Amino acid sequence: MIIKTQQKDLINALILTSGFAKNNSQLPILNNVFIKIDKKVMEIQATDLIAATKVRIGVIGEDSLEFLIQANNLLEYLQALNSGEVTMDIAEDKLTVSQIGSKAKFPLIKAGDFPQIKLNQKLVGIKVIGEEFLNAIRWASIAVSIEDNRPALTGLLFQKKDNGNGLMIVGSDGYRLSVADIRFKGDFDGSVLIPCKSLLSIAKEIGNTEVEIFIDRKTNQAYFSASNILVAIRLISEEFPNFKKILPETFQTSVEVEYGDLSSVIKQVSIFARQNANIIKLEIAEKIKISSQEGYAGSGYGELDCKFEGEKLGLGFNFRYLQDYLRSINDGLIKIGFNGQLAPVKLTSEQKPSYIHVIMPVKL
Amino acid sequence: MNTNNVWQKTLDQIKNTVSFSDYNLFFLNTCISSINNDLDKNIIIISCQNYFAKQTLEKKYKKHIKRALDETMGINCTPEFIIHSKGGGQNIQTGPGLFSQETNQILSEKEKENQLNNLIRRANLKPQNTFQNFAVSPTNEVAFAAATAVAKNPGDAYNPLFIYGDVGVGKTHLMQAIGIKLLEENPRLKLIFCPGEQFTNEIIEAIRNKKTPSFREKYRKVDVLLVDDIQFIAGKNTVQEEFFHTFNTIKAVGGQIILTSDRPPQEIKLLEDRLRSRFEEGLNIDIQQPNFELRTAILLIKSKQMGQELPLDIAQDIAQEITSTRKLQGFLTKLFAHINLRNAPISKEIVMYLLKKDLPEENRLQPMVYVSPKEVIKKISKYYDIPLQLILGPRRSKPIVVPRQYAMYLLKTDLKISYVEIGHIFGDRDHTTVMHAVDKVSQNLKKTTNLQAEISELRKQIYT
Repeated sequence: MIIKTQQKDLINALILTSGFAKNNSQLPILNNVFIKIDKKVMEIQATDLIAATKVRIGVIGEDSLEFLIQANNLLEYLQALNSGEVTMDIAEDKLTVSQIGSKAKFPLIKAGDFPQIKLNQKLVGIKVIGEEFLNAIRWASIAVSIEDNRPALTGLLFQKKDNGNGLMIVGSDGYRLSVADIRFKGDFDGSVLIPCKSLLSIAKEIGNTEVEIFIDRKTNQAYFSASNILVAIRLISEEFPNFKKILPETFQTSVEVEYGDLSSVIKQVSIFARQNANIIKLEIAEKIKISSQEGYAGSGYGELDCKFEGEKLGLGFNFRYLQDYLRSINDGLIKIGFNGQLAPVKLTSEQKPSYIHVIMPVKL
Repeated sequence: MNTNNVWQKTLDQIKNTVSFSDYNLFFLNTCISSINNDLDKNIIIISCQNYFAKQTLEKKYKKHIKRALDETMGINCTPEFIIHSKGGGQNIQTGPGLFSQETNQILSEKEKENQLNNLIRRANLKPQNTFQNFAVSPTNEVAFAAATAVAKNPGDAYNPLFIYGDVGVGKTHLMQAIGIKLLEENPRLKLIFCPGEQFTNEIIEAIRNKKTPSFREKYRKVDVLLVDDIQFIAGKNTVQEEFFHTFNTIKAVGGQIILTSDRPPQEIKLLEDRLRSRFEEGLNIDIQQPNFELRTAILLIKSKQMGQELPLDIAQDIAQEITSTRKLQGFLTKLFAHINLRNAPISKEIVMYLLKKDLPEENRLQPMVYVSPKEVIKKISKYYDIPLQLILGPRRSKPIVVPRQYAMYLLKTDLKISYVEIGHIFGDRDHTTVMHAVDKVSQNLKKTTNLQAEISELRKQIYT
């Protein structure tokens, strides 16, 4: 059968899905994308068994058909074509793609038992703003260590805020934690833990329109639907630790610093601290003094001004955690709250008040 | 365990067993990435800069590394090698994490502490004015005992508690300590601390702005009222009237009232009788000027609060020279400022230097004009209205001895005349007599501020 479609649409769909269709030695079928054509609609799906994506594009055609194909070469070929209309001729075992002056043939496989995404239509979801959602995911993921042997910490927790109408997205690796607050419409009960890696790979794609999120507790999946994309991600069954306990509200010491000052001093001192388990020492008083420990590479020291309130304090940090935080903030006034040397430290940015970061200090 | 130190020690050992170039090429940018103590194997994961380094270390030097590690760590180690880009590899933090029990405990303790501190600040109290920070000595132990009793049984033990004494002896500190203790035991307590002046101003404002009901609401409905320097309300009739009613209202429902003043109720002039009698009804207790031991203790406590360690002997030196608690605090501030600016440790030299600059006239004011010993004695005799011959003479009655001793003291300290010579001047007295006189005056000077004032007045008279 012959169908026609736009080169750009096809490319975008394949880029998104091919990311999930790779390197699955246990189930080789999953190295392919699944294409289903139903008259005027083409659906392309792929899954790595943790997350699955389905992208819908419009085609000009009459029949219905489904097949499997390796996406990589097809994608590369399409990218080498000119923009505009592309013709696809689907035969028994091969696909012929052509444009004026070009033609290519690709082998295809009969559509066997490919696990397809099914969204239970009875589910009621919540709606979030794509861009806010994307930024929140990025923010929360700073604190996540993707290759963690604690499964609960490889995911982002979605939970409704206690007071007010906000959805909290939380990520942590046990030593730092990021919470982002976004608005949402609808009802959300309880909490779900969604693999961070999968979220990051799809967030960009769905991040510019409204996104609808459905949670199916029966099948243990979270579904994200935005314009022509549907994503299903398997929930993590382990429990996320109780993070509310570590979000302090009162502080023994609090300071306000400028992003630029803090960032440059940490950069200076980091050169020496990286030879020494990344540990830097902060002395907090009317000025903040940051130093590295003496190492065989030397030592560094810097001071910066701050607005200081409360008790003087000295404590240690892994500078990389601070740098990771600063890199995501980028500018403005930063408020930091401390409760002694051994308690978690809370950082908030004046420019992004709905983003909170917590870092565990290092015992010196 | 600091993995860096361990690896450094290990490397130091390896250095001697491998060639210089190999060491620089392969060992320099390595570090321990992590240590796994699974079962009996102690697997030390060493991160190398690149593939070549990893290969070489793994194939050629594994034995050397294992030997050195075993020796450094004292246990059987199994080194393994990975590749990590520059610097990295040690993003890992160890120790209690955000969700550990320890952290949880620390946070809940801090939360309680912070909440208490908030209450304290809201009640207008200073968090450092606690019972723990209050140094006790015979000069204030009765007041301290009374205060602790009130803190245990407010409204019951001594009501009102009236503490009086000179400036700087610790009345406000003690009174606030009671307040803080009460808030610790019962965070819901309604407690107000205010200086007498503030009470006065607020009542005047309230009357002026016709807001007396809210004033009454604020002050009469408390469980504990602490008023500092109550003598301030004397002579102001409306204020006293208002305070009278406030006092009665609070006391009637079992509330506790604590007052401080610079003198006992009977000495507060222009205090209404009905107030005086009510004050005298409770416990009136005084705090005296701190003695040497207390001053030393205060210095140690205040230094600690300022984040500095003050050695005991130096504290004693300072306590010898300075008697007023306010001056003690001022001196400490000056001392620590010097220490910080010069980045020097606290030493006897610096302290002595600063003390000399500080002492009232003692060593600083050299007499501007040369005055003869005779002049000095003449001026003293004039000042105390005692005839010259009596001062120089042998009579030992007190009104004569005291000026004579002052004279001997001044002749020794200011004019630097020898003991023997002074003895001569005073009619062939033995030099030991003079020594005794000078000592006695020195000692008294350190204890009494009145005497210090008198001596400087004398000096003024003599040398100008």
